[in-house]
Amino acid sequence: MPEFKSRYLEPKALRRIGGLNLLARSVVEGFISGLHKSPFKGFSVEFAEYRQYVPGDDLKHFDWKVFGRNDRKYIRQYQEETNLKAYIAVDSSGSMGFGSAGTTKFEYACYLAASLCYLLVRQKDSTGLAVFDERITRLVQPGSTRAALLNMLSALDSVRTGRPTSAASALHEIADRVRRRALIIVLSDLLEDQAGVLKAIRHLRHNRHEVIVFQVLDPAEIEFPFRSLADFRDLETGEKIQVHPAAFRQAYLAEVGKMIETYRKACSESRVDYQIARTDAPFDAFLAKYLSKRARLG
Amino acid sequence: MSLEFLNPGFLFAAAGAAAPVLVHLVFRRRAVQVDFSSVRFLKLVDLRLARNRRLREILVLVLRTSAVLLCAAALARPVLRPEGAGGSPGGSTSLAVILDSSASMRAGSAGRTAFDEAAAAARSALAALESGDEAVIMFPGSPAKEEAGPSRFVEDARAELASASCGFGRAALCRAAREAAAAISKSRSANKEILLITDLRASSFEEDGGGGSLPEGVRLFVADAACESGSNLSPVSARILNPPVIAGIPAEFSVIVRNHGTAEERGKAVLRIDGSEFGGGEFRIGPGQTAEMAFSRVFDKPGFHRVTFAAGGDAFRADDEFHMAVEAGSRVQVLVVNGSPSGHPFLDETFYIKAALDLGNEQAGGPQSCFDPVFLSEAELESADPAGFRAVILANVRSLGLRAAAGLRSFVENGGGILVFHGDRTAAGAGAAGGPAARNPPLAADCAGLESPQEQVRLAEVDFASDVFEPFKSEANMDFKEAVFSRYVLLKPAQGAKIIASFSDGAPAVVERSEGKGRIIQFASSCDLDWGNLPTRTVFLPMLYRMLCLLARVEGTGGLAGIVGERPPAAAIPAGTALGDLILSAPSGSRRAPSAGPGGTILLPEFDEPGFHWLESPGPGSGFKRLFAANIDPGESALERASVDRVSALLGTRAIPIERLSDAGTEMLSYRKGDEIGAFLLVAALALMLVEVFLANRPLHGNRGNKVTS
Repeated sequence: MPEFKSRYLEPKALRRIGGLNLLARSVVEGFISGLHKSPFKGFSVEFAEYRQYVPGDDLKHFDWKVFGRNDRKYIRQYQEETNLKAYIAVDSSGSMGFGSAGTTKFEYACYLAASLCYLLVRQKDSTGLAVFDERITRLVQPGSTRAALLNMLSALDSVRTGRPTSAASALHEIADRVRRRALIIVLSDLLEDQAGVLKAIRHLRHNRHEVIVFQVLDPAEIEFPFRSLADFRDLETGEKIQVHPAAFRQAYLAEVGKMIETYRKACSESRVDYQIARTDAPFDAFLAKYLSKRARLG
Repeated sequence: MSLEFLNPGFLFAAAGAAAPVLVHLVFRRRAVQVDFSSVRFLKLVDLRLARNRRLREILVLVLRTSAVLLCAAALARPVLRPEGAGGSPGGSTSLAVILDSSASMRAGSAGRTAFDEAAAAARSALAALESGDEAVIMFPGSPAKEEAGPSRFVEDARAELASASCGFGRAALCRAAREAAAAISKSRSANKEILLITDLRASSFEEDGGGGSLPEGVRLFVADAACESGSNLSPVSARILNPPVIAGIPAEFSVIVRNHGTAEERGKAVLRIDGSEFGGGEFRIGPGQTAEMAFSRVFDKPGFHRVTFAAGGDAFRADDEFHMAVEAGSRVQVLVVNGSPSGHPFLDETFYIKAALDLGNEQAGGPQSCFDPVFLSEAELESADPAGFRAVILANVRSLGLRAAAGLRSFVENGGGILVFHGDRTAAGAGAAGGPAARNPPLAADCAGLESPQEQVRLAEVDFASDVFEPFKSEANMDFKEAVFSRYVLLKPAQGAKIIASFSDGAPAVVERSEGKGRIIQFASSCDLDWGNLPTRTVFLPMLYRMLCLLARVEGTGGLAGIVGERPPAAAIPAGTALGDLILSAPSGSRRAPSAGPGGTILLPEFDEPGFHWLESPGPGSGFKRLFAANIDPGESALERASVDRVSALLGTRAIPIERLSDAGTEMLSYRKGDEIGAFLLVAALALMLVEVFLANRPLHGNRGNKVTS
């Protein structure tokens, strides 16, 4: 793969996750070659790499030429273009602009989105990108080519946060727009009415989409480490509230815990992958861990 | 209750109550601005916690402020005292104890009198005083102690109290309270107190009810020391019905016994004369009623006799006896000169006088009258010496011999008395007695001729202010107007004479005049029935006795009974006796010297105890003795009580009742010093601070599983 110039694609991160394949938990509509399960036969077209031959490998992919020249046994592996259609929905609302550890949630979400785009495109999966706040503000149609990847990365680079959020309406919009079964990856802090969000997710599931939810949260949102009296300003609405953190902390944490538990439980019931992405965790390690776990689950 | 402070300066520390607010304002943390993803959850929490938080903040502020205030108040040494306690709880005290020592305080039972209880209360009050305090103790009702005057030293007051005993007099407690207030008002003590310990007899507050209020700032305590008793019998008065008392002639006594109680009482009155008891009569008296008891007794010899009437035997024994000093005299020698004697008794000029002066002698088998008359004619008077008689009656005597006339003048000059009646033999004469002036006896008026009015005249104008008629003033059955006269002699009063009775036509009926040491009473009509019917009227006998007693100067021998606390009547210094030789001896044996009174009289000290007091000159050869009797004031016997409110009204200040006599000092101390509550306030402040610490550090709600897992 060629090198891409995007601030969300870090070579180090890509190296770490590049060896992993995103496993769709359920059968998706379209052609899946390689590890994707698909009811349809696919076709391979693009060489990817060699690997050491082990007994039992299909000799159809044995590279006789190399064997003839160097007397080494290699199996040729191909990058297979599939018919898996994936949409990565990134929340660009004002709340995503919060970051207590140097990295904002939006930046973190973009890192994840870019990495996933890269991964999916590299798998030849048709991948699209939707950026939303109250509604979808940018939509990159799915594609499995390098050009599609460039488009998506370019779109991520150009987005700025600040507007109010309505993930629910955005997800409903996605559900309405994507007719065929697809993999919908949601990257959002989901700090809004939980019932509305869950209703939108159920809408996606009702349309038979595979849904993965990454709730991107800042550690400050989870642990509320503030100590001194503070005027908290809402990044979306500009609303201020003066709070003595010592007095609020426990009640606040209880509310956050309740929210997370609500999402976790509802997603589990809807067979939706739900993950909390803390922005203080290296996103590559987080993604690698998630993909590894997903690979184990088959 | 009222709150006062011993160190009020520390109350300025209460300004420290603003410290929590100032600390909050000065050191409050400035809010930093934090851009946060969403305040959605913060708003949710805020909605839930806002009410509790504000409440807690207010509570914490109140607790902190209250703790500071309580500490400041504790430093100021707060004292709780009853409302209107006055004075200063931290200052010294000037206490005046008024210990009612009147006779009624002698009432008691089981060997303890009200005075004993009162003295215990006074000791308690004095014991509660501290170093630097002053004390004054007064004993109203006990004259000797009152004269001692108050002392300002507590030890002196205690010593006075230790030697005090209950008196027999009557207490004027309002006056005593004002005197006590005047005594302590000069003190610089912050607390000026009067403790009035009394049995609250109403009589003790009657005398000076309108004497004004106590000075402002004087605290008045009233301790009720009365012993519970609903009954009291006492002889309240006695009198001699047939004065003067003459040895050998029965003396008639009337004694009034009063039941002061609320239930009917029965008892027996006893007569004691010179220590010998004679029988008495039984009585039965309803509540608030009186009974009159009569006694008759013959004094066997002239001189002073101690007469006591006893009735009662109740809890208040001091008033169970009534004492009377009786001086029994000898029979009064009276010379009766008959100007118109007759062999027929009814035509005799002095028939009625003789009948009056020999009253009952024949029937009783012995002398019943105090008078011993001698009857002479005009001629016999020439050879008689009037100096041997105490009074002379001239009945229709026209003319005297020169010697007789001179003798009578000398008789009057030296203190003798002459009673003159006119008649037909004296009416025509130019002189007062109808003869030449040199032969006339000393008279009160000249005779200006016989008057025979067309209509009978009566005794219309009687001067009851004169000592002759004064005893008849209140005697309803003594009507002088019953006497009618058809003739009388027109009298022209001599210089210095006084008309003390007139006829209905205005002519003088009775004229009197003093001459030298003696006295003359002259009647314008006759002493028989020729000119009028006076000798057969009811008033004749008592009037004749009265006139003769005055003329013979036997007045005052009818029994003397004074009251404790009052002075005996002033008396002339007896001849041959110096004032310094006289001593008044009380029943208890105490002896006091009289002082000189106005006009060369003896001013005797006040009676200080009931019983018989002898004024005597113990010097050799003197032999002067005079007896006085003193009794307890009848007001002391009355059981009517004054309420504490009544005392308050009389003294114009709120009287604070003492609940328990034995704890009088403690109760007064409670008013004076109050109860210090500084320690309680400090504990309360500490408790508030602990609560504040707990509240300020307590989370607004408990842990409820708020751990966030990813």
